[in-house]
Amino acid sequence: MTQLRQFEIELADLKRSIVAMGDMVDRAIGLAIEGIRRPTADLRERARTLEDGVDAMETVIEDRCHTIIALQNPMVRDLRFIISAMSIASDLEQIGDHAETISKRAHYIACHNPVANPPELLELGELAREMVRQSMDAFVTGNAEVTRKVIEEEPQTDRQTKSCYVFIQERMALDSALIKEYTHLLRAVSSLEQIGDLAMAIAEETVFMHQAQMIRHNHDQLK
Amino acid sequence: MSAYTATTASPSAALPQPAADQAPYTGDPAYIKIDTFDFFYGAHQALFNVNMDIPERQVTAFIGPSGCGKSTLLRNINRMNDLVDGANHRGDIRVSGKTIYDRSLEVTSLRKRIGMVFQKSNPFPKSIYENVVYGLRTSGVNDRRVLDQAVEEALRGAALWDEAKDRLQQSALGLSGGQQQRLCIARAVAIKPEVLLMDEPCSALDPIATGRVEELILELKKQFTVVIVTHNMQQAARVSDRTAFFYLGKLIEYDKTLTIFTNPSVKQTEDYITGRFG
Repeated sequence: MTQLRQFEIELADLKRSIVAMGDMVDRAIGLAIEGIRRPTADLRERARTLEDGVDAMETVIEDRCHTIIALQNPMVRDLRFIISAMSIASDLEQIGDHAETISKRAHYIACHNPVANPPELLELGELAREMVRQSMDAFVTGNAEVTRKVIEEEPQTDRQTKSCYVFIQERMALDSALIKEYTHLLRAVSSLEQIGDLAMAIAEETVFMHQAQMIRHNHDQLK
Repeated sequence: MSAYTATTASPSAALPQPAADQAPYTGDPAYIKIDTFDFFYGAHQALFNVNMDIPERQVTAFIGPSGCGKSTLLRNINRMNDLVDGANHRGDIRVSGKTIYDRSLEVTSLRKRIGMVFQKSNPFPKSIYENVVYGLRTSGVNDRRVLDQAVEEALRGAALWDEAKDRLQQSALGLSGGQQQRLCIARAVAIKPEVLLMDEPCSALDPIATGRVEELILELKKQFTVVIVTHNMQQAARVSDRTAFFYLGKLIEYDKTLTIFTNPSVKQTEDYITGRFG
């Protein structure tokens, strides 16, 4: 086997690992949303196990990236791919953390005094999950239209988050005995919003990877 | 185009037409201007319609697979290829605004203005001192104080002074490979050329000696315009300001080194740099 062929196999393996990590994170968000709907101890435990898997995956991907950089001296698009892989793995790991946080908060609330969810909460969760799926699609295909969609969806998560905050603040004002539970719910809402932000960060990273354009602070540059 | 366009009879019947897509790089003002340049070894055309503006006091790297014409172009800049039987060219190369093919120009004086360092170090079997002053002596300089000063300046400039100052009268052949290459650079810079051409100057050196020569190149560009041919992509990326990629005798892409190594415009360039062909 030629050295170049081996290098391309390593890059393909790395790409598969990122996709697999994205899939794990998608399941973690699914568990978090399910936990908001119907929190159970089993869901909480599954979320924790999945989060451990996501953390381990990030370490493996980082290690692979370091090895490829050290031994293969990647350049141009290969170097951009490795840099993006490390960044996306870090973003996915943070999304995994947020998903677990949501599961934990939902479980706490269920174990204490169940409170009413804001009407937009599940919609926010589904939108954040869809954004992560789309950003991973952009990672695989380099489809700029998908990236554009993720970027355009992000303000919607901001609006839904604000609506949720208003709802929770009003409920806190009405019943101070439930402030602790609502504070946990606030944290869950905040985590969903941050999942949307991280999905956008992944989408932006895919533009760097595929087009060598850094659009993080200027979305108008997206071709 | 120069009034003097060919050194020998031109095999024009066999010539392909110049490529239309090779616009000259329009960056900093050209110190070396390569203008619609074709070059032939007898009937074999080695360079096709090369247009390049090489800026002053910067390092310009030529990269490309073996046989792509990069060394051929380098050796044309000081007319080293005139020594090859059947060598022939069309187009022009101008240095500091003047054609190097002017009939009244002596080639030896051109080569004093445009020094060259080769792949394999080639010190003369003389002392370190005599190697450095060789060019000055052939120019008629024999004043001991002038020569002493030139030796120190050139060896300091080549980052060799500290290692060689106590053995100047010893044979240059006793130096290590890396030291010999730096001595050759000292010999080239002692006559204060305008341009320094380097043809794979580190290919025979170990990584430590390579690092020293690369540091030296970065120092040299403060005084000289440097053009380097290298097969080492990392070296081109590290030391050069501009990079030109050649393939099959054609200039495929010429741009800032950062652009070439992060986001080249031409797929062939990217495929070569990433090792997918060549």
